[in-house]
Amino acid sequence: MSRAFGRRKRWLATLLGTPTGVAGVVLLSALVILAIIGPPIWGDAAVKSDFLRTLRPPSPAHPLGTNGSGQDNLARVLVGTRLSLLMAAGAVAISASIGLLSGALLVTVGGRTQRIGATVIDTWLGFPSILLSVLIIAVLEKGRGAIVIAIGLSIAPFFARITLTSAASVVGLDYVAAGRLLGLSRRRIASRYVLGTIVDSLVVAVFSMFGQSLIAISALTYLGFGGARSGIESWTSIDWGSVLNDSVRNFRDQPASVLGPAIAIALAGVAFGWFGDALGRSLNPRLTVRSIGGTPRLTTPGETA
Amino acid sequence: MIVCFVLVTLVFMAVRLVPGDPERNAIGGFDGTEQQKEEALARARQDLHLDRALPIQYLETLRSAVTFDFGTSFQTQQPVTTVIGDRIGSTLRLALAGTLVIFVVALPLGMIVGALTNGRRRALDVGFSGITGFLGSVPPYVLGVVLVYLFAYTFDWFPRTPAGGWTDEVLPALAVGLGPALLLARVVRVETLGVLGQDYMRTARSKWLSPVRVYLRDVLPNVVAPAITIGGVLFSSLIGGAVVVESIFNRNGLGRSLIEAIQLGDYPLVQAIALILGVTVVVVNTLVDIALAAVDPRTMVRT
Repeated sequence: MSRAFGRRKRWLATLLGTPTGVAGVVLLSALVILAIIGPPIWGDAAVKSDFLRTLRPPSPAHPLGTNGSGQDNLARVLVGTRLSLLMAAGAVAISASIGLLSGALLVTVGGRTQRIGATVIDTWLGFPSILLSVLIIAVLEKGRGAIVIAIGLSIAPFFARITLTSAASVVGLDYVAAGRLLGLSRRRIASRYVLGTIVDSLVVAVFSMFGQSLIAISALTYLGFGGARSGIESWTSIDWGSVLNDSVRNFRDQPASVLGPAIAIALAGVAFGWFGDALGRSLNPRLTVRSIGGTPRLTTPGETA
Repeated sequence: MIVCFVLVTLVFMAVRLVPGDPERNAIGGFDGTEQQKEEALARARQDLHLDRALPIQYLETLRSAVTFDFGTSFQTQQPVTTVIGDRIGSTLRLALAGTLVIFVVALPLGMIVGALTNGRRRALDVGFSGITGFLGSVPPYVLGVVLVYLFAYTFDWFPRTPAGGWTDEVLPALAVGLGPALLLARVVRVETLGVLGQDYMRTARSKWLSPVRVYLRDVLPNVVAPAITIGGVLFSSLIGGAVVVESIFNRNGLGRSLIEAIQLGDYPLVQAIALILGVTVVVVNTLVDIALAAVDPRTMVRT
């Protein structure tokens, strides 16, 4: 009991042990809280048009000014948090499941197929993901669903690569062979022995990719792939990219309004990265030692240091 | 080569997978008499080779990719090659200026900070990693927007709309290049520290060689190789950044044309630009491998 408590304390201490870790945790909690309470509080203000007060500069009533329809820019950024986070979550869910499955499949098959698969994944990774995702959108119908699918597909190779690399390094180890000799089922080996050891790096990847896909999704909605704005707007269609699009279009008249969505996107992207790194350190302290001067590498119990 | 082939195939399939008739989509916004419309339809069908059987269509697409004959743009009714010729210059300038920013910022910054923090000045070290880590992960389009806000609107140092001349290039180049540059500077710093710890550095110092000479002759060549290694990855992100940044800065480049072409359903143009950008990335990655082998012969063993 006390040992478990002590372990948890240490875990938290590592998570909050670095300035970026603290900042990541704080920012991420703020974002999640904002996504939950934002729309009920500012939802109405975000869509309420006032055509007598369009493109106003910042003022106490509207700290970031108003847009071309006289809507409050700050409220739109705050409300946009929910949709931005939800879309990123959708994209990460798609890419993580595709990546994990294809990576695991390649490890199981092994041999020549695995090598060909790895080459495909690397080529896919080397291709600019934004280019890939606009091409996927060209094929699908325009809209937010298409954006989520496109980003999900274009970052899937990242998860596949991580699964492939870390699982392949685990599969060859003695303790997996021992498990096999003990007559454990393939499924049990796969879930307990292999997945159990690579889950740390996957969790870290999920968070850093969450930030990446949020940035990419905002880029696409900024470019206007989120679908046209209909006559009556509800807050459910506001995300940071579309707010940014709006502000950039009115750059000349009301430059300060671009700061809201720009800072939101940048901070969120960075916060997820920081949180992911801190989480990685606390889940697997050895990761930090090994990561100096190169990419983080997972060490496993059987490996000689 | 194989990758280029795969690219052509993917783009070919993509255009065929588009819901509805590609050629009807294509001329959707075309106005004119019925007869002109019919002519445009027929031309669209011919450009996309839709009037043939599928295998023939595929071969025709391959042939046009090899001969750089991409047909006629649905939107402007000009040959695609003309449209691309008009716009590629802007993208090339952006890519070159961005690459310049990456190396001009990253190498000196990384080396200087590395030399200064070699076991000393902990505050500078922490500050450097904090700032580069933060700014390095700000996406190019957000950086672009903030740069325009600061330097074109608040301080009025740069033109707000393209004015012609070199001043147009500065902010876009910084937007696409600064992030990768700072990330590369971190790598260069670590490499510099590694080199400074080597025995031959102690030898050089004991011979009272001038510091400038030591840094240029001994340190620089050793940090260039890792810089080039991730240079390929950075170039790929630079091209991706350019696609979005061009529309922020109202540049008539390939990236912005691609976005517009997709939104208007101008498939010959989409096909051509996607191929050009994709092939460029692949070619640069190959060149990086070659350059690496030239700079650091040890990597030959690996490839």
